[in-house]
Amino acid sequence: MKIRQIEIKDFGAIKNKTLKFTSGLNVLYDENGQVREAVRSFIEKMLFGNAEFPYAGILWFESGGRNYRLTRDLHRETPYSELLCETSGELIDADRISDSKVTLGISESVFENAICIAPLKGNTGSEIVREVQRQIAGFQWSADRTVDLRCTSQRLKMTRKGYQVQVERRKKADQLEKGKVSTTICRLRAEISDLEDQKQQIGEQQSALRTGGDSNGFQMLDGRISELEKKNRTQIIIMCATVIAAFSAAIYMGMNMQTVVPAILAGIAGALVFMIETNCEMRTVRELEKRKRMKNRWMAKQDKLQDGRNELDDELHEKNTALANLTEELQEMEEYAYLPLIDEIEIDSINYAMDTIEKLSARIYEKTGNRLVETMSEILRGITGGECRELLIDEDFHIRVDTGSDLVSIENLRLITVGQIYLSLRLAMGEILCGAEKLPVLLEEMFGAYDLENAAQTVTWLTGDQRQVIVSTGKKKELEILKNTGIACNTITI
Amino acid sequence: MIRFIHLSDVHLGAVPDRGCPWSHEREEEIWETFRRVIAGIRKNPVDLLFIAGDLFHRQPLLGQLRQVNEWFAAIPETRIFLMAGDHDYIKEDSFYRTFRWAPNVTFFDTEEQRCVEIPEKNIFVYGLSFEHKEVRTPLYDEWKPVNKPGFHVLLAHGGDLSCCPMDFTGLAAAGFDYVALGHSHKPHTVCRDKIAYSGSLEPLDRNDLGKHGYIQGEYEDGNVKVRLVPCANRSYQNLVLNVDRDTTQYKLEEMLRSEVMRRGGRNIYRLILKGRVSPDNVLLTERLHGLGNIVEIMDESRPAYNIEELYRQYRGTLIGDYINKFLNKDLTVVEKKALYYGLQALLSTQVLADDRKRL
Repeated sequence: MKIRQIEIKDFGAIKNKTLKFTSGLNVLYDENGQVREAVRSFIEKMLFGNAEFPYAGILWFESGGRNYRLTRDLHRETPYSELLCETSGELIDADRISDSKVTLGISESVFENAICIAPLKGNTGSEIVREVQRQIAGFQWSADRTVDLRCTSQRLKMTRKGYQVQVERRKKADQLEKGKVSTTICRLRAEISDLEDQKQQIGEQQSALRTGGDSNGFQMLDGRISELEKKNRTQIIIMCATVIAAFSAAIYMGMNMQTVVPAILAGIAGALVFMIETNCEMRTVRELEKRKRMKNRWMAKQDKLQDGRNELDDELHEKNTALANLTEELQEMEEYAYLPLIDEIEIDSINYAMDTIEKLSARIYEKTGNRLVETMSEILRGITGGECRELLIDEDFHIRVDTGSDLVSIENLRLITVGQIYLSLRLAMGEILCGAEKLPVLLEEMFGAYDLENAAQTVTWLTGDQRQVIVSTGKKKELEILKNTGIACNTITI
Repeated sequence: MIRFIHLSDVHLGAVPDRGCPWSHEREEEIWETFRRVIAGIRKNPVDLLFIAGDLFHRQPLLGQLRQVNEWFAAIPETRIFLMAGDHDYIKEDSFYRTFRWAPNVTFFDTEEQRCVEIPEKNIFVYGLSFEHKEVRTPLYDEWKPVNKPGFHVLLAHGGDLSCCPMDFTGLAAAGFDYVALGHSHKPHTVCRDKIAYSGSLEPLDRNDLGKHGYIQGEYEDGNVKVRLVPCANRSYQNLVLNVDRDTTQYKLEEMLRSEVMRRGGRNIYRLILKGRVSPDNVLLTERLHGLGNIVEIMDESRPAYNIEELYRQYRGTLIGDYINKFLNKDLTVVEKKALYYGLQALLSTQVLADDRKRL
């Protein structure tokens, strides 16, 4: 792909400017960095149709051996975009340009990763080295040097932690409630057990009262009372019979005998017998009363025990019902606990996100991982003129360079070489993300720190690799270096 | 004219939202609201009170029955008809079986259909009670009122597949003047002025939205007119807060505070956040729980990403692949949330080299 020409009608501060590019080395020179940045931004916005603010312009480019003209005018009420294939006369949907084969399927992210290259900034060499390591890791695992998977993972874990704390809190609260219910259940069970013990004791007492082992047993008492009543009745009959007999005898004797003495004697005898019988009867009655009182006391005792038992039964019934209710409630609480909380759904979502990122990242590494290092090595060889033969990166991301005679750690290399490693990384990204055709590179003051020899080697390799190079610089020194490389250089002054 | 009140699903003894700070209060409010209704009848007597099941949340305790009976006895001019539903069904050892109610209370104590007549007022009340927790066979479909003039009321509980299915069309045509239904906690009419669910007296669950109370009705010259009388102490409400790019945590909390104040601090809210927030604003929903009686927070808000645009921008990279995994598919709730969680994490932790802006 090659950018042939841009016509900026209106883009920020730039109005009506036309810039032409060659297929080789181009130097965009202007001391105003904002203007150069605007040109870069114009190319990006034209290619991808971003509409953050209205602008208008035309971009001519070549891709796949065909020439294209891309026109956009976002000032109109209805934004206008047109992509014309000048070679075939075909009109293509400019709004879906990045989906089409025309731009080799590159997205804005690919544009940022592989086309726009600026030197790394850092206060120390270590910072720069660390940044190179980070970008290599980022690209190997995500095909995007700006992605920091370690921070991504940390962020997701922190978010998840917040929900986990909520879930724990909720579960604790549920456990507390269940605990309260369980405690009440235990208390009820203990009370029921006590009540049942009491009931059993009463039952034993009732049985004890009823059995014949005791002379005061109910049956014995009842039997004895019956006997005494029967005896009493008999005694009363005998007493009556005695009275009648004595009276009859006295009358008979009085009527049939000469004297009343026998009658009186019979009467007295009858009275004596009656008195004796009365005495016996009274003793019987006293015993009967005593037995009846004993029976009543026994009955009262039984009734009291029975009342107590009935009360216990009622209380047991009440407590058993309460226990059944609480048991049911506890069961419902346990069933409810199995239902996912809203926060658990959030946690599941975060876990799913982490899982997906991991899998996709692994897939990218499979395709990219080793290929990146190999491609970087090849490019580094080219831009250093063979000085750096191979790049070696171990599992801990320690980077070393094979110079042919030695393996040098990146920390011990000159900053220029580190810069070249970084450039090879960015160029390798372009190769991997879009290998179908060479992408142009927009270099932002890349050669400021280079000497003439290094700059010449780099630019020679880049342009020899059939790649369009556009160097944006505001430094006269850089412009001079590039002009003196001996390679045809198209200088564009804005 | 015959005046009546129809209520059901009081669920005395229930402990709604166990574990939440208002739970114990709610338990007491359920009793209090029922007491208030009875006190209201005492002030303004009606002829009939129908309680269509689930007066109690579980098996009633003796003490509870005594309390309720005491309240019933305080309104002797009102005839009360009570049945057991699927929650307080008459178990073998239920206190319902042996309890002696006040003279003005008729309790349907078996699963046999029964008709109770009030001859002096020509009122016929039909009913039964559940003796099982689950009743999957229809118990009311073949029931017809007796062929006598008067006010014929069927007291019934159930109406869904798991609890005494009913043929409402048949029931409407059966000949009853009014069918007082219980079981559904949401008050609604099945057949206007003829078949109605009174709903639960107090809402018991976060899904019991809307008004709750009892049905007040009048019967005259063969016509019945009913209306819902709301009397619940508080309501459950869905509170939707719309968030946008400018919504910060502080603003969200202020919105919630003022909305709760406007609707009533006693009510219980399910908070639903909707809208699209700025990806840079992280909303901490857990801080919202303390700003009212918030029983649940559903965060349906999304970061204001243009997914299609982001896919175009990041195609060919991990971010593009991630978006593509979820694009143009029927996503589950978990997947929808995962898309935004992953995207927000990937984008917010990007290391922006060269101070370049991103979409």
